Amino acid sequence: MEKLLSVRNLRTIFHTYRGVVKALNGVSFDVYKKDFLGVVGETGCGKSVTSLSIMRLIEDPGEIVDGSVVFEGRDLLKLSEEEMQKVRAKEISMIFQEPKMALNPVLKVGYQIAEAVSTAEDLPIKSKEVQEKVYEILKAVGLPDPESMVEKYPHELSGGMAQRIMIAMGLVTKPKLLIADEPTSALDVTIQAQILHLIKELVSEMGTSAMIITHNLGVVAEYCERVVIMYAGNVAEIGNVKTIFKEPLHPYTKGLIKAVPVIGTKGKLQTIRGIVPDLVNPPSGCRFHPRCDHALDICSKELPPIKEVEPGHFVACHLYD
Amino acid sequence: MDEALQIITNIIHDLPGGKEMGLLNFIIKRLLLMILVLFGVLCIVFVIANVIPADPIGALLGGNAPPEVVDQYKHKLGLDKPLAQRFVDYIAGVLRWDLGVSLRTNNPVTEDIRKFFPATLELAIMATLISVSLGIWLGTASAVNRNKGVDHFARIFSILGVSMPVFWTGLLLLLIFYYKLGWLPGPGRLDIFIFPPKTVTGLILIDSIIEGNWTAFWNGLQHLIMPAFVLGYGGTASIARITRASMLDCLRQDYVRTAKAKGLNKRLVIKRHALRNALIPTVTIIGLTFGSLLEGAVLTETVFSWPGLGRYITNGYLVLDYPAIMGGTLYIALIYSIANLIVDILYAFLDPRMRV
Repeated sequence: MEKLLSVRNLRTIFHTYRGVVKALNGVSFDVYKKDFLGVVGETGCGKSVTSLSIMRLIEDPGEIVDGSVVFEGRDLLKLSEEEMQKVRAKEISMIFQEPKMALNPVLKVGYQIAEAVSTAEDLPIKSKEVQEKVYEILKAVGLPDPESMVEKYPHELSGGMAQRIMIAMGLVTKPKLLIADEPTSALDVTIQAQILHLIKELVSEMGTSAMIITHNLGVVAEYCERVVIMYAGNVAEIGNVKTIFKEPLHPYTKGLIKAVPVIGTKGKLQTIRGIVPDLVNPPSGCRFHPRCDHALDICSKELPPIKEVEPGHFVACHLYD
Repeated sequence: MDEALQIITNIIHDLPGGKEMGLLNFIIKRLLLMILVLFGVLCIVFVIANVIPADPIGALLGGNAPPEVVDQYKHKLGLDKPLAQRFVDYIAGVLRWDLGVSLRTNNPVTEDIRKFFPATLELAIMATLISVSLGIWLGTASAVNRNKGVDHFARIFSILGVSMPVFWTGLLLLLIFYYKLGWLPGPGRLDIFIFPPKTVTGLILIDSIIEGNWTAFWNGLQHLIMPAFVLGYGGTASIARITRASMLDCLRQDYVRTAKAKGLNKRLVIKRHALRNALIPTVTIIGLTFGSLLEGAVLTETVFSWPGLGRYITNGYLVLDYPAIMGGTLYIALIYSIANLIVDILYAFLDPRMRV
C-alpha cells in the first residue's frame, strides 16, 4: 500500500501554569492511500492533539516541539504558514466533534461551504461554479432541497444536519485526506450510524483517505479497516481491525477490548485498574506500566519503541522485545 | 422593568396576529417600554426640580425684589398653583410638545432645543464615529496581538480614556493643539470670519455640503475634531475593552478553528468569522456609550464653548432655569432611548438568532 501521510516521533506540548503538559510523546503512524483508519483511546490520550498537530492548528500555549508529518513527500511541519493554508484548503480537510459549535452562527451554511470551495479553487465566492459545487455536495451528503438549505443558519439545523453540512464543507474540495475528530460523539445514537455510513460512502467514492478519531471501539469495529490505539500521548498498537480485535498484543489494548460490555452477559464489567496519568508528570518509561499487570523492570525505565511484530501489526511494548 | 416587558409582551401576543409580527412586534414593544421610561424620567425630573431648596424667582429677580413683583412672577410662572396641578399641567404640556418658556432666554424651551440640539447632535455623531471606528480597531488589534506591544498600548490608552475626566482631557488638548502648537482652531463651531452655511439640518458639516460651501465644511470639521475626540475618548476606551474581551472569546471558539481548517488566511478568519460575532456585545456598549456622550456633552461643550444643548442646560442650572433644565433633560432621555432602540434593532441584523 502506498503511504499518504507518515507521522514520525511527533511531540506536542502545552505550557500551562501547572507545568508543561507532554501531550504527545513521540507519536508515529502511517495513513495509506484510500485508507480508513481509526484512532482510538481514552479522553486525554492525545487523539485530538494528534489531528490538530497534523493540521498545524495547535494554538498558543501549545507547541509542536519535535517530529515530522510527511504528506506526499513534504514535511508539513516545515512549510510556511501560506503553504500550509493551501494544504488545509485543498488537500486535508477536518470535521469536528460538535457540529453546531463548529459552524459560524452568524453566516449562512451555504456561504460557509462556498467559502471552502472558493478558498481551495481561488474562485470568487459568489461565482456560478462555486454555487453549483455547493448544490452538488449538499445533494451528495443527503440534504434535501439544497436551494433552501444554503439559506439556513446553523441554529436552524439539527445536530445531524449540521454534521452533514460539516461533511459537505470538508469533502466539497475533494481532499486527499479527511480527518474526522469524534464526528459522531455529540449526536444521537440513531444518527451516528447514518453519519458514519455517509462518511465511508463518500470517501470511498472520492478515493479520499479517512482518519476517524473516536473513543468508541464499536465505531472502529464496524467501519474502520485499520486502527491506531493510543495511550497517554503514545501509540500503543497499530494493526488491522480484525487482528487487533482477535489477537490484541498490548496489555492496554487487551484491557480496552475486555472493557467493552457485551449484551447478554451478566456480571461485573471488566475495567483497567488505576487512572489515566497526569501528563505534567507522566510515569517514566512506558506510560502504561503503573496500570499494567505484566509490567517488567525495564518498563519503568525505558519507553518501548514501536516494532512490527508481523506485517502491518505494530506494537510498543517490552513484552514483545 | 422585566415585568413591564413581560406584561407588554403578553398584551401584544393576545392581539390578533400578534405572534407572527416578529421584528415589528419587537419594535412596538420597545416603543411602549420607551414611553414608560420617559414617563419615569419626567416624574424624577419634576420631583427634583420641586424639592431643591432654591427659588427660581429669587435667582431671577435678585434678593431685594419687592414682594408684589415676586407674587406677580409667581403667578406668571404658575408657581402659585398646587404641586399636583402643576404636575398635571406639565404632563399636558409635554404631550402637546410644549415644555414651557425658558426663564433665561424667554423663548419656548422647544424652540431653544431646536436651535441648540443640532450642535450637540453633530458633536455626538462625530464622537460616536470616532469612538466606534477607533474602539473596534484597537480592540481587535489588541486581541489578535494579545500581550504584545499593540495590546499594551491599547490597554494603557483605554485605561486613560475611562479614567481621565472629560473637562481635563479637553483643557489639555486645547492647551497642546490650540495654544502651543496652533494646529487646530479653538473654541466654537466655526471661525468668526467664516460665513456659516444656511441652516437646513443645523449640522454645519451637512449644511455646508448641501450648499457646496467647502470653506465652511473644512473649518467646521477642524473645529469639530478636537471636542469630538475628547467626548468620544471615554467611549473609545470602553468599546476597545469590550471588543478585545469578546474578540478573545470568539477567537477561542470552534468555528474559528473550522475557518482556519478551511485554509482561510488569518485576515479573513478574523474579519469574516471572529469579528462579526465579537461585535454583538460591542453594539450594546455603543448604545450605552451614546448616553455617556450626551452626558459628557455638558462638560465638553462648556470647555469648548460649543453652542449645544449641553451648554444650554448648564447655563440653565446657573440661573435655576427650571423649564430649560427639565425640558432639556427630558429631550436627552428621549434621544438616548431612541439610540438604544436603534441598537436593539441592529442586534437583529448582526445576529440571525435574534430574528426568531
